[in-house]
Amino acid sequence: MNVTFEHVDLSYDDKKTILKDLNFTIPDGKLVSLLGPSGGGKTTTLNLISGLLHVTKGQIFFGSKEVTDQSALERKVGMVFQNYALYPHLSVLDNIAFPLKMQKVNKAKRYQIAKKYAHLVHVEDQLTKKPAALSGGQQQRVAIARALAKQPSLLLLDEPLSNLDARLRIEMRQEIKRIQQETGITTIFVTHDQDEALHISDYVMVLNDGRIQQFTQPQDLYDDPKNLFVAKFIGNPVINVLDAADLQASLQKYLPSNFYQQVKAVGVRAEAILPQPPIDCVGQIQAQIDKIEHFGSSVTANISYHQQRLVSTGIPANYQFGKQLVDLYFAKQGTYFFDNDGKRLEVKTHD
Amino acid sequence: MKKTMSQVLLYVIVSLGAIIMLLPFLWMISTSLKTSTETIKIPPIWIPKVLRWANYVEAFKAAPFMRYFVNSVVVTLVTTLGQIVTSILAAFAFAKLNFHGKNFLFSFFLGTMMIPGEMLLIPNFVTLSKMHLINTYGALILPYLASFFTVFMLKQSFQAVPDSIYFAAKIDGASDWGFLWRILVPMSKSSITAVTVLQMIGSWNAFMWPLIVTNDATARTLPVGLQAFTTDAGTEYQLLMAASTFVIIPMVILYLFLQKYIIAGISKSGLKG
Amino acid sequence: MINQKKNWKTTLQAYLYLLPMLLVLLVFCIYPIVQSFLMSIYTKYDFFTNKVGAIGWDNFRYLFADPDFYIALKNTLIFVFGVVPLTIVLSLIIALMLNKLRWFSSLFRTIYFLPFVTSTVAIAMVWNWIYHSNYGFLNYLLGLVGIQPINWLNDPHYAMWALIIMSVWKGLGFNIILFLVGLNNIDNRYYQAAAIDGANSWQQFLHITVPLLSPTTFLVTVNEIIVSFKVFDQVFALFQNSPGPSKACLTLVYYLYQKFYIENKYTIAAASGVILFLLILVVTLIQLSYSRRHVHY
Repeated sequence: MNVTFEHVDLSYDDKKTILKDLNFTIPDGKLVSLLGPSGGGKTTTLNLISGLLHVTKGQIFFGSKEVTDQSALERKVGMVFQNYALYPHLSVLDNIAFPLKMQKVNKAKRYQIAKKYAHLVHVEDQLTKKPAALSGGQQQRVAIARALAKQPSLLLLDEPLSNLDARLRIEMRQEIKRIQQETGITTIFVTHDQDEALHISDYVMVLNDGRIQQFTQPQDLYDDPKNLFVAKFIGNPVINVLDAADLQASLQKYLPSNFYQQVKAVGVRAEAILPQPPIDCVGQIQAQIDKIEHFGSSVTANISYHQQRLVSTGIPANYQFGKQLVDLYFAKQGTYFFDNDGKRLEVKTHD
Repeated sequence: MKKTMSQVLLYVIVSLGAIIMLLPFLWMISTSLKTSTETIKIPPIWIPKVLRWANYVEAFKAAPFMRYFVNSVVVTLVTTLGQIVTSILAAFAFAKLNFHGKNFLFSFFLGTMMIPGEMLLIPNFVTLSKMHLINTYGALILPYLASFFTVFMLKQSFQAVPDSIYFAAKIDGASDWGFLWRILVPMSKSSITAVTVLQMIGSWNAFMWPLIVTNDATARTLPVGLQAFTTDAGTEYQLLMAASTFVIIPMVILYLFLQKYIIAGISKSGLKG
Repeated sequence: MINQKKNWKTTLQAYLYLLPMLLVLLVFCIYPIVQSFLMSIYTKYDFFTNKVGAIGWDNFRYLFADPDFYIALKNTLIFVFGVVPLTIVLSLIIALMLNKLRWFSSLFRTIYFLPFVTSTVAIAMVWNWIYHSNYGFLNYLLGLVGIQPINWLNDPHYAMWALIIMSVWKGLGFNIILFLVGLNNIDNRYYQAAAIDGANSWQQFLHITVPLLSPTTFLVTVNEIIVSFKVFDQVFALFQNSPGPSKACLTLVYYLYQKFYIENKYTIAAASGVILFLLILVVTLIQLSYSRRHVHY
């Protein structure tokens, strides 16, 4: 089932606008992440999809059917909450069977279905236990099974991994991917962790300030950010951002004059700062290298430029440097130019 | 060494205090099993030669205690049950529903809790007289079928249930009503038990209101019946003590079995209600 | 639901849940509150026909001209000033001790709390017997240390003491529980930090326990004062349907009861109820303003 938003606005008490003019289509059968900082609108968007919240303006479609005014129940969504929201007084089996009980499915049938999903998520040996007796990862699995038991139109997950420790988180994100692929259900996943989003999703929607910043495949977010926010939000180490005012000479040298005047900020990924000029060079600075750190396979150089600290991973560990300024170059792949509003400008170099 | 000494001293003092707390109860039971001449022996005897259980039978004959007992049981059970049900419904609305006038209504009733209950006696007495309910169970039960204090307590524990559970239940297809009884109430079992037990103790021991609205054995509860009995028993202390023991014992048993909940309830409320 | 806009439908639904409570409270709580304030200024009033003849301050004038009312006011204040400090100090000390016990602390807690669950009337009968001037257990104990028998219940000088002792005994357990909860809520790390800083047990008590327990102490005090202001059952049962010898234990609520139930002076009784309310209100307000300055939340 694909999900479409058309001109969706949400505001509380006609005062505070939370979401502004959201338009998107989530394709059928894919795993999509809603990614962004807290307060950016991702959980709100999820709640609008689920029907727990209703739009102030605009329309929502599931497939070709409009569901704008339908409740969560009518939309038949399955949902997994951050704290799992398992019913503490019911056993694992009864938790999974609860939505079927509400649909008045008879006992034998609903336990049969519940067991099938318990098997799918690998908790078939925990059926008689109460949720409190399970580990966080197991509770998460039960919550997913419960959401799937009603054969929902969509599976929605609200920060499902943030209560787990680091190792379990990686295990569970693989599990979510596996379960999604086995069932083929359209799955929407809210997270503030880019690593999570980039690793398991087919598509990522970056939300900030109540607006969609970019909605595309994971690798495109990194390679081809549409604006300064996305460039800064995605990637580790965080992209280096330089004020155009500090780069006048370089910009004039590498960019056509009608173009470089629009540039207000330049973002350079750590791996794009190099000690030798690359073939597609788009910038050049004279800076001081303070330190080169070397952990395992990663080499990080700390650079000072105009009272600003830059980070490069493109400088080899054995690079010789002193107190003097050295020439450093920006590769085209990994260097982005932004205008006054933070919008990415199409690169046009001299040649 | 110094630590052990101070612990020993601590136990001595605490035990002495415990004896003082227990003495009236022991004295009551001891007296209730004495003959009338044994009660006035000096120095007092703690364990009578023969345990006169007959005192209990005699006290029962001297006044309609069985009737009082039945009245107390009926009034306590109906009052408690009614109050818990009305409070669960109201507490759910205050804890999980969104409606016009919610904050006003809540603060308003919170404010009424400042008013001493004694002020309500007179108008309530008149209301019930007009309903011709004086000296009936109705007079004892009706005014206590709701209590904002209980609503307040339950609202606190309902609020502790995360909203996500509510949404999960909704998505799973439960109605508000189904969520309340299938999920919220079972999840809040221990708080509900706590307020139930506290309310039962309160109803059982209530005195002033039953004293005012009953005038004979038809509806009198145990404390009022016991009070009336003192005039008849006069100096027969062994009978009085037997009757007192009879009034006290049920709540002591309840307390011993459910003290975990009572203590938890008081810890949360911090008010006598 | 969350942030679901409230509309007439959600409101209607919510009020259906509130309805049973609202009905009972309207009839037996809100209406009587209004009515008893009104009644206190009705001077000519037939209750059963609800006819009001005149309105004025006569009921209050009556109260302030009635020597019994002054006695009741005085006795209530004596009772409050006797019971509250004793109860607070004793229950705090006992709670501190119970908190230090290594074994059996829950057994002791059970024992100390026992009086709270017992019927005031029934246990007052027992105390009536303990206070008996000739055969009472208390005078026997006092005799052992050479004190002459005291006529606890019939001597106006001692009757109030008898009432206070019994009330403190009965109220201790409840306050001990509250103090124990308060003590448990104090993070042990504060004590560890203080011990490292060189504070001895007394200094720890003074600088950690006392300030961090102050919200509990405040709560216990307010509650105990309000409950003490309303004392009635104990008096009625201990002195067997009388306010004590020479009205030595005539309290405000007992006065209200007499005017209302014995003498059928409903409006006077209502006026005394209003005074009771005002007293409680004043005490609560004073304490609130005090706590704002001195209680560490």
